[in-house]
Amino acid sequence: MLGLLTGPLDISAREVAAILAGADAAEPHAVTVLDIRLPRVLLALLIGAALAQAGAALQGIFRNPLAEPGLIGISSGAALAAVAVIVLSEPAGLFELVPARVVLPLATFAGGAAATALVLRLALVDGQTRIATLLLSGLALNAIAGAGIGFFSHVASDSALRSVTFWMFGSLGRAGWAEIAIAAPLLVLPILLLPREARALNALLLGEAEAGHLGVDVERLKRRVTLLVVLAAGAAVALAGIIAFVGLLVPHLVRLAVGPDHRHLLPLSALAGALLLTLADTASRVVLMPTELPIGILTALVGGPFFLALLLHRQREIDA
Amino acid sequence: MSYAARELSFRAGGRLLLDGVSLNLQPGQVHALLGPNGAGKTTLLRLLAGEQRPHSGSVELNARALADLGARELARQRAVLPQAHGLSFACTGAQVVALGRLPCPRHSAEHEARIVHDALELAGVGALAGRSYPTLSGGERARVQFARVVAQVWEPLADGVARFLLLDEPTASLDLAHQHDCLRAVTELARRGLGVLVILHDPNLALRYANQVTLLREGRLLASGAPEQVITAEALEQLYGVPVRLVRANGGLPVVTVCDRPTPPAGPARSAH
Repeated sequence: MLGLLTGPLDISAREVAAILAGADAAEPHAVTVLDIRLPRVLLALLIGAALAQAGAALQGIFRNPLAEPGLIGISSGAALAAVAVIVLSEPAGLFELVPARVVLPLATFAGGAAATALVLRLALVDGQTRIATLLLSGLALNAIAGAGIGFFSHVASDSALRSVTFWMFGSLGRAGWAEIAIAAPLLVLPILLLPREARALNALLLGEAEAGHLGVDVERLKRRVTLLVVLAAGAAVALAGIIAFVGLLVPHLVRLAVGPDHRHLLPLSALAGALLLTLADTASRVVLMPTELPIGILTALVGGPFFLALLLHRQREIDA
Repeated sequence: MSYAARELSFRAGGRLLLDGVSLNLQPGQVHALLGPNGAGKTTLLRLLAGEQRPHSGSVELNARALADLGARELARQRAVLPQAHGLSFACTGAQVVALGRLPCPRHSAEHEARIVHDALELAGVGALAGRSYPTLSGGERARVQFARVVAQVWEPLADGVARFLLLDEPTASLDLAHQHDCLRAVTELARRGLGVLVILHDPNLALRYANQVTLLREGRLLASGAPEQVITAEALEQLYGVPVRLVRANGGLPVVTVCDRPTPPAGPARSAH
């Protein structure tokens, strides 16, 4: 709601309600609310829910509270693809043939999926996914992608560099109804399907062998969950760039509040992620009004210290 | 109705960890498995559990090959307690035990809570139901995990299908009193009809609580049978390579004690007993 009310144009709450109800309000205001603010809020809700729940599920299958979608290469693979497209297409004139808003999300999604596929392939030893290898391959891939991104930034023109920077820090501002129509299924599907794995993920809390003894096919579970996470995170990055910490932080907060039972953790993470990202997006539009702060900077700026505080607090609890 | 391993062999890293071992678990019986470190006890338990497949030989549970049983069906007929427990998330004791109910047919919340409660009580850790698992001591964790696997096979199955428990050193981190509590709970479960395989390191516990004992050495079966026939001074010396004596006090159970090793002044050590 707040997201619909805030922005450089001053539009009253009553007017927003009237516009949503279908009243023919003053033309520019209606356009602002329906075509700019509403899709943006919807996107924030969807991406927030998808990222947070994907993080919670990933922490479940890795049995590691520090896992997040970025760790298995989704973000960096997507970022490398995006940066490469931005920088290389300028001299090639690619965006004159096909608009950037079509090429960029596709390339990004493909980059994220390819990177994750590579990491998963590397971690597959004797038909079993080794979690330690997975995390280490993810780290290595992140480093390689980082080098690639650095290289492209180095050779980029000033205008390309500006889009690269903007993209790297995430924004919900570029999405319109067309993008949402394409991405919504990719985001909604994991949001709906991941909670079905809650009981199996609970068993996995005990350990992989223990989950197996309880009748869970652990390998299949890992594959299903990873696929859904790639869908969610890949679509999120493709639409809004890299939004840090939501996938890591939100599940942590929810777990502190309701405990590790995935039957509660997954849906509540989705809910909290949706709320948090909508709030963060609203804040990012307000703090530097009339320009906006890239949302990834805001989430990292707030999330980083918060996460450290959380760690220190828990450390003290354990020491006590 | 039985849990039968036939001629199991298993190799890993070029080593033959298990070499043609057969074992038969019966409902209502406690079967103790003894052997030195690295004898293949845990490997045998994993093969029985279906966690790994033998390179040769077969495992049958209630007259069906393990491979023919669905994962859930298998999980309803046998529960497995591994040695190490990797749970690091902040579940309560009761939540951990409730996780054991995953493969079981779902009852009302009250009924489920009662099973969890009863399993915790049987394991002697009713007081830990509300405690956060990561804050428990090693022994307390082991007993909560024991309650979890007990909850998994708590209820009798249809058509009298037998249930089994495979326990890998359930007494390893327990103090003297709790070791006996644990095995008393195991014998109580056997009295209710469960078949139990329990890996132990203390032959005295096996003498006191087991109906059957199997000795395993270097992946091979050394002896198998009734406890007092299998656990002899000769067999234990062969098994562990230390001289032992069996002392029988007042006509009670024999008690195994380890004799002092003669300290040789020089040359290779050799038992004089």
